[in-house]
Amino acid sequence: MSTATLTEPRMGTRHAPATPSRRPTSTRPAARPTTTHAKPVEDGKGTAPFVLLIMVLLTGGLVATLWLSTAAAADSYRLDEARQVARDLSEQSERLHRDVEAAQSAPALAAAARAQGMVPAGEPAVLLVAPDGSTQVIGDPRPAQPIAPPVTPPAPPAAPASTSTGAQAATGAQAATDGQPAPAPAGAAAAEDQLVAVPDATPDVDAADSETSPDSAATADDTAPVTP
Amino acid sequence: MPRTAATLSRPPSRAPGVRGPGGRRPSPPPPPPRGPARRPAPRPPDPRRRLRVGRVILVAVLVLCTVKLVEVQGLRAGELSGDAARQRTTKLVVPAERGAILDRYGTPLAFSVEAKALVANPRRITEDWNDPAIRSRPGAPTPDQRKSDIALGMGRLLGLDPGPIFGSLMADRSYVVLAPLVDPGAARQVREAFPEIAEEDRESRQYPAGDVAATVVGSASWNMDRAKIRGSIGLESALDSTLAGTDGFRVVDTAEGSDAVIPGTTRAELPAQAGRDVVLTLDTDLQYAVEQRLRDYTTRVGARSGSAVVLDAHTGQVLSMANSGSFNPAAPGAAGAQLSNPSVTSPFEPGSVNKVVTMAAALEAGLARPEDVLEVPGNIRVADRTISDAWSHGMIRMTLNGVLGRSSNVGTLMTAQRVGPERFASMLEALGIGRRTGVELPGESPGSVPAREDWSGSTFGNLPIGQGLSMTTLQMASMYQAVANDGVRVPPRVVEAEVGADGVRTPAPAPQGVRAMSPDTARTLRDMLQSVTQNGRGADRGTGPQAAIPGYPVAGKTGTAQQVDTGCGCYSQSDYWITFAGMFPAQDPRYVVALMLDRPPGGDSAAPLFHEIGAYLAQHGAVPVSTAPPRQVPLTLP
Repeated sequence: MSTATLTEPRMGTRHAPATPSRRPTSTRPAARPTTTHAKPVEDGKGTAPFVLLIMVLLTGGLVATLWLSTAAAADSYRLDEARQVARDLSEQSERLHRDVEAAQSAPALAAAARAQGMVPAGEPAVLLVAPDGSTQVIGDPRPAQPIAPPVTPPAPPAAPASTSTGAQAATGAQAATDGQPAPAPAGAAAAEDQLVAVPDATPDVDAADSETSPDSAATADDTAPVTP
Repeated sequence: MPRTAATLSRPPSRAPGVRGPGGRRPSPPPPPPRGPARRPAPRPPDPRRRLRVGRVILVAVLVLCTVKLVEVQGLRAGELSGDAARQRTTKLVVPAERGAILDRYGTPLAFSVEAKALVANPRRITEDWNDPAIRSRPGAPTPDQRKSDIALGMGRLLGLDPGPIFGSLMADRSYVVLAPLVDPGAARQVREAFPEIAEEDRESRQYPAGDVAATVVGSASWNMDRAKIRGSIGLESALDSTLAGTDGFRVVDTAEGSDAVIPGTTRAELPAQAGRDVVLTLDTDLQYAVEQRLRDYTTRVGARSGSAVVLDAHTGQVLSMANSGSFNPAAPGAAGAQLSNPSVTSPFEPGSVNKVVTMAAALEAGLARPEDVLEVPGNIRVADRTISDAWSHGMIRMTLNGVLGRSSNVGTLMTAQRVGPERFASMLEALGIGRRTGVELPGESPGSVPAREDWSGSTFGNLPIGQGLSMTTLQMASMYQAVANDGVRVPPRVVEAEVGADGVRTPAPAPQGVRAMSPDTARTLRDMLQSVTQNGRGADRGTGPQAAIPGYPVAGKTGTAQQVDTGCGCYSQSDYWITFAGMFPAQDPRYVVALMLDRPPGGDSAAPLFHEIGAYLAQHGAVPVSTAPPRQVPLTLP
């Protein structure tokens, strides 16, 4: 490029006399007519578009650079935001996973069921249907034993429980609803105490083994389902 | 450059100008007298000399630079670049996530979640106050105010009691942990609210089932020294290397004085290898049910402790292993926590449960049949000791069924004497007594059996009735598993498989089964064991009819063993180990259950507990009922 600018003026000086009409286009040559009088003539013709082109290119480049860097910066903000959201979501999913596992574990389910007044089902009897249609009951069907009430009000439910099974079911059901708020604040320790308290209030479980009580237990079956 | 060009060009223009000085010469003489003395001095020095001096200086500087360059780039290159790398390069540990512990159906018993520890430097907070710039700021809180702000704010954000946090902050220390395990989101909130608080990576171990199976699974907690979560109890400890995985690392450049990683500077990276998940043979629901029933029953009969083991009859897998005591794995240090697993660590004398060894040996050798009738006296003399039955009787006629079903010591010892000590000892060994089962649990006890050469005359009067030797609840279960599995004892295992981070499941190596008796012997023995739960009249009633489950024939054996009274060094007359081992359905057993109760004051049988657990198992495992009437055989003949 530098060689071009060096050679052009020389050519210009040579052609200058031939094209004097162009001289007025530039004012600068007038100041130093002897040395560079001819230079702007050809400059005006060959350099201006070139300079313009360079300027456009430079400006375009600058704008493009600015635009790209702004876009990159904006993208990096968006990326950062997206990363944050992803992190929050993964943390949330981990937290939920943990909560779900805790809530569906056997002790948590048992505690939740107890809080709703549910009781363990006990031993089921099996109804066996023979090919000829006759049925056979295997086992000893009994209503589920209500969980004994918390230790605090022990006297009233304990006394009728030993005298009548029907009354026991009634008081037990009542106790279960009464006891409903109790497990929540008392926590697992209290809940375990409750379970421990079962045998005390249900002495007929042991009595059933002595082979005399199944009949009375069977009668209890008929009466008990009515009470709840 | 233009200036140098000018100075360079000027001398030539003046050099020819000899006329210049010549032109000036006439004027100096008239001015003051001091003029002529000084005028020659300001005369411009010889530019060529100046040029030379400049050149020399430039060359000297260049030489110096070169020397330094050689020194830095050549002589000390390694040392310096090493220093630079040290200053800049940081090796970051990429923590490996610890594997989970799952039950046989994939229910997690232990798993890890990411957590943060919030730490602070209380001394720094106090020192900041000494900075005049901070102190002079209007409304700037004093260190104590700031600390109480932090404590209250953290208490609010994390739902903690601010008291202990404030206490830690007031300590004159440079490092305090304010909250050990905090949810990452909450930790970020705290850090944004209080820049003085820093966070550290932690891993929080979750035990969703709480104390269920805790004595088997154990507990793992953060180890400060190793900066890693480490198992300290139970399987978490025994399988630590499998669960832990391998930490990876990442070599990066960091900005000096901070942990900020310069992007794109990762030089080396070794990804962390997550720990392997361990799948246990336990069934969490069954485990919960067995634990509840065991704890209930232990409390009901007032026993000091109890343990229960449920095995799969064919594979020997441990489906449930319960102890009356347990602990919360999230806080193993709490009061009343029982960390050990007595089902495998604490041997006891089994009592009459061990009579099955004599019977198996007698049947296997063809020396006896279940219907054989024995003339059983009230007591029997073995060496220097006289052993009698649990109930007093004169000479009675009992079948071998009756000897087992009514648990006659005398009848068993009569049979044992026909079997002989050699056959008895080898049957004991085949049933795995006196040897560790090899279960994966830590601290397993082998129990104890006196070495054959140390047997005295009375030893063979003790062992057949289950005194003078000890076994764990697991060994007891394994012994009956051999009977249940047609004579092949499969050593019990609690780990079913390992699952790698890639999801590939590797089953644990299957233990080698040991044939203890022929299938015929095992079948006959199962029939005989049903006599125990036989609910006949008077003398035809076994010792454990309470264990019977309607619809399921139960084969089992009750046991009562006297404990050693440390006071007199003799067998106690009041403290007993109460045992029960059994299986059902008797024809083709699916489950083997072994129970032990330590010192129930009333000497209650463990048979009702077997009934409770068995009834749950039958329902839980959907075991088909049997329509056959309960087996009734004569135990005592008139």
